[in-house]
Amino acid sequence: MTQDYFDRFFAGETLAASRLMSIVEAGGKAGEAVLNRLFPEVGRAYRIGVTGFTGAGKSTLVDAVSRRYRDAEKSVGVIAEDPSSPFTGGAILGDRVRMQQASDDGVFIRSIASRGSETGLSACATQLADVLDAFGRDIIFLETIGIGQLEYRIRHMAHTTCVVLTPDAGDDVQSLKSGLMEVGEVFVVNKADRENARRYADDLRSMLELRQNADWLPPVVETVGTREKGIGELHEAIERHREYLSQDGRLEEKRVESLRDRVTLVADERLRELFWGNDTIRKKLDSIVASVVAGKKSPYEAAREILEPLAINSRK
Amino acid sequence: MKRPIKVLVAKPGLDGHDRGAKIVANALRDAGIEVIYTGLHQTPEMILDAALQEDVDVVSLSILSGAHMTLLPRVRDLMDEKGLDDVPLVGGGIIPEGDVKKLKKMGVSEIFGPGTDTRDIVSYINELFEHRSKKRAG
Repeated sequence: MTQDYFDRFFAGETLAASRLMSIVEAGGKAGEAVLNRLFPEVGRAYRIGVTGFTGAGKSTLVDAVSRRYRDAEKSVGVIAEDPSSPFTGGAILGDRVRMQQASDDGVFIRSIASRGSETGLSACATQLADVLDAFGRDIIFLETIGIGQLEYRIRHMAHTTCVVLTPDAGDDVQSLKSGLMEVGEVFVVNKADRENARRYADDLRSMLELRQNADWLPPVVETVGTREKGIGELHEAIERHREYLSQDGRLEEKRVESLRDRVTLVADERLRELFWGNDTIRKKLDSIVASVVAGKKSPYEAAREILEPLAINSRK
Repeated sequence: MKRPIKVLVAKPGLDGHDRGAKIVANALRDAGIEVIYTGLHQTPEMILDAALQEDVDVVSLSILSGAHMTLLPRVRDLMDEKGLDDVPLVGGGIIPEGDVKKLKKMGVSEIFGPGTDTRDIVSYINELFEHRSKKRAG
């Protein structure tokens, strides 16, 4: 059955790509087998990360910039994340609503729900982007929900990361989370027709200029996504960063970094599964916890003891 | 990881009334289902693209414009053409009893009229999905 999907996938059939993505999403051995099979074909697409707070207008901007790429006859893929309900596990994935203009079969949009795991979410987004990459999409947008420290990961997921902000977030630029500031290679002040927008953008610029040792000064682009304003500038800013990356081996450097991150991430996950899934370890945990409860050991001594089987050449 | 059921909720055609579709989308979400919501004014081709790209388990259309006899069979045909013949299509909206029978003959799985309890829609979809999982696994 899967082999049939691969044949149809390489023949360019959307449904086959879509079903392979579902297998990847489900994870496990089958998902891994798909990723292994496709990996030699991965790496041609240019990946653009788009992050920022909910309601900042990310989908609308992705839609508008997608059309610029479509005009240049590039095929586009979009991975759009939305949160799952922590209560029921259900979700309403509404990013397509804002992506009407770009919708044609040159734009492959796939929505994913967070399903209660932020790390899992990022990993899954990258895997689905890999499938679209192997499917021959030229440009892939990764739209992530802008919450939490783990958004830092996006720098390993994309070539160019755009951070989308709005002037009315109720905060001044000073209060932006430092992670968000460091992750952006292109900054967008969307809804720039609002009061304070210009000042907000200027504050952002002066803050970015303070950054040391940066040979790439992130541009700040003012846009009004719903009215198509500033879209050309945003597209150019992304392309300028792409140009910058293409020089002095930066692209290759980024590739190495991101692959290292992925291997580490996968190994890390596997390690936890193997370790905590082991019966001996689980029994040992029970007895060690008992001695912590009895006051004979501290939690730190207990943790060290339980990790002893992993002590490969560890220094005492 | 067991994947949740994915349902496409689409509003085809020209009518701008999506309150019903939104109520259904919320009820499905609250039942643990992942809903892909497309928004208004979808053409049958856009609905097909969304169903293909998202690999949904069920496609549902909300139609209040009176064009159900055109839109539902058209979407069904497109889905069958592109290999989604194993994906059920359901409709909701103001659809006369006589038309419901005809639509079912044309391959529409179920029609939910005004006043339907959202719980009935949820349990209908759960049953469809169980049936389909068995078929796919087999």
